Amino acid sequence: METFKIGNPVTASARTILLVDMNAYFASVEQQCNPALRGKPVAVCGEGRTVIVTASYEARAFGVKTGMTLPEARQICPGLIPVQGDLDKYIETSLRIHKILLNYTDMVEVFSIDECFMDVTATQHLFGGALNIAREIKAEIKKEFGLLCSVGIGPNRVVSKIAGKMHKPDGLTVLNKENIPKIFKNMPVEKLQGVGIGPRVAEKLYFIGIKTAAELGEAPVQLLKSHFGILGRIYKAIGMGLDDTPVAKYGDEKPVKSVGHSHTLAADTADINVIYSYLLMLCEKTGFRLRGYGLTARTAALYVRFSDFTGFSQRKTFKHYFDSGEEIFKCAKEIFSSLLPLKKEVRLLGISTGNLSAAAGQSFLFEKDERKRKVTSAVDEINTKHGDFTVKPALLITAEKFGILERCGIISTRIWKK
Amino acid sequence: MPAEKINEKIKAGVVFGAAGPVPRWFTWRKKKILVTSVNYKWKSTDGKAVLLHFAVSADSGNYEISFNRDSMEWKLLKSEIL
Repeated sequence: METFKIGNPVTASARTILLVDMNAYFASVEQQCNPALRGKPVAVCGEGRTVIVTASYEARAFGVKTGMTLPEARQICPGLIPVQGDLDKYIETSLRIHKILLNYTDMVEVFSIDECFMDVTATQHLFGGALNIAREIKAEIKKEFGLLCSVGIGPNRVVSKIAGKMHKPDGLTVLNKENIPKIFKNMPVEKLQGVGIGPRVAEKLYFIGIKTAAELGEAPVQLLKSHFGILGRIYKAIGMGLDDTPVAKYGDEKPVKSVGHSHTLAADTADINVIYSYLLMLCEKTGFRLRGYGLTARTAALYVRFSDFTGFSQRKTFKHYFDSGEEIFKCAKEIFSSLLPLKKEVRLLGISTGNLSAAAGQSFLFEKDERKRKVTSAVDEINTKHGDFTVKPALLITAEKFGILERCGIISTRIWKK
Repeated sequence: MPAEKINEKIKAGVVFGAAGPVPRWFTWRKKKILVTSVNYKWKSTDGKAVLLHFAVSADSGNYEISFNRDSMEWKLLKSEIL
């Protein structure tokens, strides 16, 4: 999920914002695909030893949560049915849902794969008002996909998001200046998760005697600033239900800030050849995506999760920009070398690149570099036409023999290339 | 029973309507399987090829089949025999 940011807490002119939030999205899609799963506790996860990505409401009733391992979830829900997720299916469904939303306004901002903001201020009169739009959207999504969503309506993004989270599944909640004071009076601050108040902030707020959203809005800004710094003012605005952040137009995506992949290994291992082979695979995928976006990176970050679930992460910024899998791999290896000799077996590897800059179509002084670039372009062309890793470095065979799970990472390029 | 990956070519009987192809039956391992409902459909890509996926039910179980728009091939990707 994306981190929620709030703009200047200044009351903007009256706006009507909708938040459309798909309920238990991935699990609900799977229940639609397979009627035998309907009404049953379902957990969508990756292949092999991954964690739960989302759970159906039937599973949530047992306490199954995102991020649990399957054995953990099965302890509290023995009848849990694991289903391997299929991101293509979810992305394609999202894109089709966006088309429904775009029938009402072009101010549709994709907040995450299962959430969209809509600014219907200028168009609501054409459709009988915001409430009617919300009802129609819910009905259309249910008819087209059999899926349920919750819609929150409010004067800004923060309030519509709070409204959208209030009643699930299948909720429709309107918050306005008449009912906000009453609702905020009884709303615990931990319910503001998702609009910028995380569990730690909520805990700290409790510590200083602020227990409800209304109390947060009424708290002296100096008190909040003394505990939370510059964020204090923003937290106060949230408590007052103020936010003037605009809803972006559909297609105006924020620029990509980082590109990376992670992968849970088929089994824990301390075999350095296997680890490097997986690492190269992740770096090749990352490089392929970077080049696809026309970007180069200067920072590489490595994340390693060990068999005991402890983790290591380190980032390094280099003087030069890079976009090839080989170069990213070189950086990743450099970071990884600080862990050698390995004391624990590795469970998961993740690589991420940052400090991104538009690739300038660089030409190389030395022939061998130019040759490498040409080879990379040719390989990209083949893999784009025939599928990922049709042509690949020989070292990847080690990882393939060890077992590569079908989908490496959970981000597809398709979400960006509508 | 969990879904099993199959990934085998199949023959399919399909109605090409306004909303695109709708599978009515397919043969797999010499058995003709009548599709009783198409539960869900979506697209994916394999390189440049566009694949249409169908989650379908039959009396014998639930299946995922796909149609490659480039090669015009049908495949049974997954099966969950009841």
